[in-house]
Amino acid sequence: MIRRLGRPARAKGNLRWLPGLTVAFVVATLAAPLLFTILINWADKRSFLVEARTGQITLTFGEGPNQWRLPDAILCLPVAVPRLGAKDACGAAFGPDGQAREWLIDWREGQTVTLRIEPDGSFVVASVKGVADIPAGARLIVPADIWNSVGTLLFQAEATLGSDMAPGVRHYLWSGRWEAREAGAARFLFRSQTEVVKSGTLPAGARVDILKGEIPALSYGHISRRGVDGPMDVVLLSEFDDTYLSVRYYGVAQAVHIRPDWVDVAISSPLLLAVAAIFPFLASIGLYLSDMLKRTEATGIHISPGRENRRRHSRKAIRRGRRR
Amino acid sequence: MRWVIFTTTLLLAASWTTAVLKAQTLVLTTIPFNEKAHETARISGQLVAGVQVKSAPDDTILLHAYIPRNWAGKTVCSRVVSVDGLYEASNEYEVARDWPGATAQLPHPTSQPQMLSGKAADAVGVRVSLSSCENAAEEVTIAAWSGARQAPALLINSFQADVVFAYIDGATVPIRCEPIVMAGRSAYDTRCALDDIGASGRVEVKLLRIMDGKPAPQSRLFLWLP
Repeated sequence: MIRRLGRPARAKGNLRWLPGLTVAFVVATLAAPLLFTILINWADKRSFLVEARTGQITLTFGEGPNQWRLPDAILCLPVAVPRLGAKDACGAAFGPDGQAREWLIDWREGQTVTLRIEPDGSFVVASVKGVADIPAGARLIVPADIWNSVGTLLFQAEATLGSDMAPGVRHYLWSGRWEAREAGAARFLFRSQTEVVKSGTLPAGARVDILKGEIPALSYGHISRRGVDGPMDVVLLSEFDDTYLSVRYYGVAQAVHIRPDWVDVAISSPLLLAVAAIFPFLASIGLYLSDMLKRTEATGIHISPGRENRRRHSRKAIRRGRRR
Repeated sequence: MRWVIFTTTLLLAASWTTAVLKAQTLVLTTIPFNEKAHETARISGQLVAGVQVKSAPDDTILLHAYIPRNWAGKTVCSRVVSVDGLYEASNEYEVARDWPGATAQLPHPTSQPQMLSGKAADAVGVRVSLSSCENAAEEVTIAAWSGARQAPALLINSFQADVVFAYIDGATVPIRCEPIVMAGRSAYDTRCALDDIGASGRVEVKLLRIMDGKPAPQSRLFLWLP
């Protein structure tokens, strides 16, 4: 109910907080995205997802189950004198240790293996840091025609995709892509899921590590193959920490480190985008309301009377009634 | 056997240290000194990228080599290359006509000391050969400097062979060389440790690379030992 009131000077006292409210709205509108950017970046942790096709991957196994089944695999041990003219799968530099058989392996923590796809399509597990059964320098070879019964190999390990490019390299990264997924303080408060803050592709020949500080980060991943002619299809998801991607290219002295910064987060965060959209809307409502209240102050028109005025009006009405 | 190898290595290192202390200096004939710190890597076209042993503390870049008497009056080439192929220096030296056969210092006035010092052992390979730098190195000697490991070794660019075997002086049992595990390796990839040779003078070294399980053609070079 809008009514003309006779004494606007009394209303001024009720709207003393108006300028403060307006300033608060303006400050909130400007500061909120900035505050959210800081919050989103605060104590940020991220996980890298890497999807690659590669001819080589090196794994240093972590704790947890790393159980593999390699059917009809041949163990080849290094020989002191080359076996010139050898026709078996082990080749001239290695000698077979018994017949091909099924290997059920539970890789222990700290063991390192390099997995390669050879030009003939066979899958080779080269032991770099081994155990009694598969000593360092030995190789397990799964012939190409057996691969289909291997299925997918799972691992929890520190992984290096591809190898340094050098003359004659045959086991290298073919192609790949990566995503950095983050969850900062603000995301934790408002959303329960991570956001992709940066992504990119991996060129052929790159050597890729996921690091945490100066040490390799633990990754969870799996290896499969679409056929026996192609490379391995590898998917890695790194542990959730202050991780970064280290990519080494041939000809570049130092590895390139990829770690999303606050600009990447600011331009890619849907949460920040939502905040950036909501706050101006709230601010404009606030400004509209404060503008309305200002006009009331200037003209003496109130949208509804205050408690004090209402009391005064009722007293006036009583007096008027008595006079009549 | 391990004690024999250990003792041989110690004796070799001791003999190097003694020889280095009284080394004469060869005359550097490549002027200005030829070295390049490439922005992109370059790779040697030859199999042997380094023949070296440790001789000095880590912070000095002093290059020594045993120069045999047979090399008197001839040209010697010193090639220094980093494992990532980013540093390369090829320079020639003149051996005096009356050279008695001894360890000599090869001046290496580098303007890129940061490319050579403070690196991991064998991250830089030195090859001193009897030839001009334009010709293939068929006769080499062991270079001694701070960037090598304690035991003498051949650094080989095997072109990603499965394994490299080195036959020393007609031995029936070869040395099984080990892959070099180093980030960014491009110029060489294999290390053949020479710590249990037990020979001196000019020895023949045959390198057999096994590629994809099959032997590649053999390569041969001659190595001079003090």
